[in-house]
Amino acid sequence: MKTFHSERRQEWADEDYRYAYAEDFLNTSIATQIVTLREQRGLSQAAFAQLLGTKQPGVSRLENVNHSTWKTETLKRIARALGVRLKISFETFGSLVDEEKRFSRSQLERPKFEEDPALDPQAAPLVAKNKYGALVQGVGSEWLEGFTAGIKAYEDTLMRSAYLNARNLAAQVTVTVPGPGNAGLFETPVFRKPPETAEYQSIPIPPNQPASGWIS
Amino acid sequence: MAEHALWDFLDTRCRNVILQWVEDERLTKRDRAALNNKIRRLAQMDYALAVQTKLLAGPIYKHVYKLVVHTDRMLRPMLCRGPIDNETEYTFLLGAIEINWKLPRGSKEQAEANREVVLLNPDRRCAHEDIPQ
Repeated sequence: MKTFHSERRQEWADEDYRYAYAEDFLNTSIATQIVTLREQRGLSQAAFAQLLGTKQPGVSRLENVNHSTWKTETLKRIARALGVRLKISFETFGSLVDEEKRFSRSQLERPKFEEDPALDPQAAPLVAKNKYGALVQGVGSEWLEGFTAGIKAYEDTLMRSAYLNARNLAAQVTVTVPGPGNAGLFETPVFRKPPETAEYQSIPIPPNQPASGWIS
Repeated sequence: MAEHALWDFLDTRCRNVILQWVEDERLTKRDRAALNNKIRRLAQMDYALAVQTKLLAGPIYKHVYKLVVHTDRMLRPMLCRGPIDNETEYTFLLGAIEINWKLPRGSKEQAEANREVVLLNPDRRCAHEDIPQ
């Protein structure tokens, strides 16, 4: 069976095609993230233009996915107006596959400096949603990323080792897990069980899992 | 994860009109790369974001929208929301290229006619196929 990565490897075999694709993805991503961040902050185009020291049509141009003549100085000004930092880096084509998969409004959102939980997890406990809609409180973003990646690894491979790894991460915050027959999501004082969606219920629980310390 | 399912209209000989258009117009590699990227991002965006970023323009005629792709040429494949389920899918109805900011004469009307064909016969479309490079 072809994986997403191998499909892209084949599609991007031609160098000209590959660079044109990556460039178009970059332009689309920047414009889309500007819109997403502006709206996340409740700013109109006119209000944002004022922060940038430009006019509303200028913002409209920057928010167009077909805009392609980005200037680093403009991007720096945008970052400052939105309370985030600008990151420019050279990347592999392999990482583009993951960026493509993650492309969505929610994945492009970023908190501004004052609301960044990663900078002060004690004073401002992280309140975030993992991909299952469960609220996670009082844990660092590193833990959340590790835990979400662990769950994903389990979903992708259905391997017991991946499941145990996710379970170990969960144990770090005294997460308890329902046993077979339950809907199958991690429940804990820091997790609130989300509505039982189809996605939620589709997570299979491996047979013969240890019951010790787990709520069944 | 995709927010929308994508479909392509099939002509009376069951040929995918978008792939046919790409071949007939001899789109360049740059065109094809940008087209594939823009179509995939459209599937992942909510409708409001697609309009806000001007990826999607319209409706330009009745239920017809155009996907805006600036590359070597002004590619404007035309599509509609739905038409079977307007919230979760788009159907590409006809390929088009703008010249001097104008679509070919009659193309918007043809796209709308294709939409009506799909409404009457949902088999006249297939799951969207990637543009071959």
